[in-house]
Amino acid sequence: MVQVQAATTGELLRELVRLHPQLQAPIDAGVSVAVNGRIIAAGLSEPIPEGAEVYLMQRLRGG
Amino acid sequence: MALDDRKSHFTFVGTRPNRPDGLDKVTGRARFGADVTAPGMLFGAILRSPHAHARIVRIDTSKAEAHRDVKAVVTRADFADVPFKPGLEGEFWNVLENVMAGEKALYDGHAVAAVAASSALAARDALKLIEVEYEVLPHVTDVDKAMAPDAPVIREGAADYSVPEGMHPNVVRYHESGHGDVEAGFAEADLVIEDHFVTEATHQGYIEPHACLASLGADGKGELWCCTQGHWIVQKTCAALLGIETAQLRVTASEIGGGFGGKTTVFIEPVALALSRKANRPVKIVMSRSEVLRATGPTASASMDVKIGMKKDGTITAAQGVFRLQGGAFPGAPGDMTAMCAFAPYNLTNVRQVGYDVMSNRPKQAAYRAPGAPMGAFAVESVIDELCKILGLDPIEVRLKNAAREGTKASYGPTYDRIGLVETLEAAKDHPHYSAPLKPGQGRGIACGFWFNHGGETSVSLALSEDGSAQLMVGTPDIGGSRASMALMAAEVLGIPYENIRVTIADTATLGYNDVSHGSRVTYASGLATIKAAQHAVEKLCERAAAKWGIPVDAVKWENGCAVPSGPNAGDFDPLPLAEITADMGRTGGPISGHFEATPEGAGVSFGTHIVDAEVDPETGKTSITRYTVIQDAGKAIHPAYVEGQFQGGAAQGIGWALNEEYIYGEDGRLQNPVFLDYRIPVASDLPMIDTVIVEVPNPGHPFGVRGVGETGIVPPLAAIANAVSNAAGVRMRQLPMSPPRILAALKGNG
Repeated sequence: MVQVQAATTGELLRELVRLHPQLQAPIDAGVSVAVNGRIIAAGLSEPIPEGAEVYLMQRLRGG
Repeated sequence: MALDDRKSHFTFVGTRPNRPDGLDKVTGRARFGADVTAPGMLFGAILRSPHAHARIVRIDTSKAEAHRDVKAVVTRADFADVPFKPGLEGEFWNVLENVMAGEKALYDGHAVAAVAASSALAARDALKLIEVEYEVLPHVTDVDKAMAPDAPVIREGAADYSVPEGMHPNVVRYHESGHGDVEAGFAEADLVIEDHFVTEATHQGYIEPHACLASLGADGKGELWCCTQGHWIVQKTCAALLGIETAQLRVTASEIGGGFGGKTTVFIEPVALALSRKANRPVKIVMSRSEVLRATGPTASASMDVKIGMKKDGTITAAQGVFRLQGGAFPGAPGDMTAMCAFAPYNLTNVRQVGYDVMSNRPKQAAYRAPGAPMGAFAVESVIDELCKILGLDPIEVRLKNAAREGTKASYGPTYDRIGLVETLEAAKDHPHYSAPLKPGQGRGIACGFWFNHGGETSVSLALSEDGSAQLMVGTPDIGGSRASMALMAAEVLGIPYENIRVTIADTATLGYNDVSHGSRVTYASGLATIKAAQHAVEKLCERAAAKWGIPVDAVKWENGCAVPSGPNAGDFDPLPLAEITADMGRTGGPISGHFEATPEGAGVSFGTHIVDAEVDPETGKTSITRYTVIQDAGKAIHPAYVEGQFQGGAAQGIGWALNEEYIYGEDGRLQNPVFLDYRIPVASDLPMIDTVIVEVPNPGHPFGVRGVGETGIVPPLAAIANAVSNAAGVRMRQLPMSPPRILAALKGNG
């Protein structure tokens, strides 16, 4: 569990890398962000509401 | 994305009109990858490595080049000599290395050179004139052996940040996730089962082999016709590999004879373009079936260990899985997806999953419907079935007891939104199939499956004609009936008949970037964009009506295909049909079109439950599937017949994967069965009628509630069939395919 201030998925990823540089590699490799259970595959402009559950996952791929 | 236009009552959506491509396909008018020609066209052929792993010491193409029928020969040097765009690395580099070998041939069938000649026969003959000197290297094709300390290294430095120190260089990605304390959970269990499972690689088995016609001039301008699941990724990748500007290459997707994930990348297209550039003539390449099997992406093979603890009442106390997937000689095996999907149907307090992506000397794996998920479900659902059997519990009741629902913390991390697993299990429990008596020698199996689904970049345009018909341009090749479902969704918004809408798969010069038709995304994402594009056109139609009536546009609404005053205060005007507005559009402001582009991010995950009856012949080991029922949450079925077709297709391909299909490699690392006679996909006589039940738990992320349906249907079959066969044979089957020799060996081993 880590804490950052961010209003969008893009801000979240930028803040995470700023505070935890070791996350640069996994984020560069591709992550999806789940906000309140909704999986955001790649979008950086998706809003993160106050108090939302945020979860980082390896980026999803499909067939 | 705000969805304030959610709809639950429909006029066109949910009906079953004729497919728009039906007549073309039955009359032969449909043009597939190999169906086009061009003036002055040459024929390309590709020379492939006979070795699983070999250093390419020397390639002498001089004799081939001297042949009078040969107009061009290319090797890797013809790609490397061009000034690449900066940044040809990562997956682009992997794709280049796969379409034309560099220093080493990495698998049996790896392309090493190609020729373009005046006939297909001449091209094939000319390949024999190319001399390649190989230094054969040790090879490995098995996932467990590829991870062992003494395994030959396929490529140093291919591993990414995620791989723990001390692992073999062939392990290139690592995934670990979960929550709770699995050891404490196992201690609480009344019964713990840990078992090992193996699945072989299978091919997507599309009926149409890869085919393309390419033309590329010295000016860097090109045209490409090909069968693909996504022509923008073809455009982007080919441009990168050939060092040309993306926008200068126009790619048109042909009609497609199946893809299932396997046509989401390129194989022959950059080669045809390189040959064309060198010969200054159009070049056509059509793969043989043998080339398709040897050198295009099969799925990964897997070696898996699953451990699950259960109480006597059926409560799962802990679950743990280790999933090792080999994906050929390149990174990309979806071990992470296997791990994340494996336990997703269940509400687990303690869960841990580990996935490995391992390289071996096999062709580069490509996506295949829900990539990675079917293997994991096979292992997990087999262990759950065994636990139920030993504890004397009903397999559906146990799954219901542990089922994930809205608010459950998923095994892969986040909390589920509204999902429909329980509804599929309830429907399975109530289905007559589940209570039907079995004959002697038959067994029944149950399994659940999960897939994420996907949104992706999407751009759609709609243009109205003066007679009130509409043309819809989408960028996602139609691999499962999407032209019909797009037309239904547009009809629903516009209020004009389905038949009045023609849907075209636009080429790369006509629309902005569209992601590939994969991830079960098309009906969701292109559908959402179609709805929004149609709404955009409706706004303009309302503006024209408002202008005609001389009232504010917000006093006009759209109803049943007509502009009408929004209320009694707006004025008294007769409804104005769409065709009356478009008849005048040239004089009332010009053409009326609608457009929408976005990356929708609300695909909504999906679950299914399958019931299978199998009969095993103890004399021959042959398995017959005697009854099969697919129950899956579609969110909202736009064209139910196509949804049922997706369910049936997933089950049919799952039957092949479970019972017969496998890549068989010899000790020499060569594929032993690169033809359909020896690589046995199911035929009609292998299949029962596959019954379907469409469950509709609307996806909150789509205006009409759509969830993708293309992939989830292949997740439960391996497990459900294995459970049915194990119950019929009286012995647990832990390895796929359950071909007759394996069944006989298992029966013999069981005494």
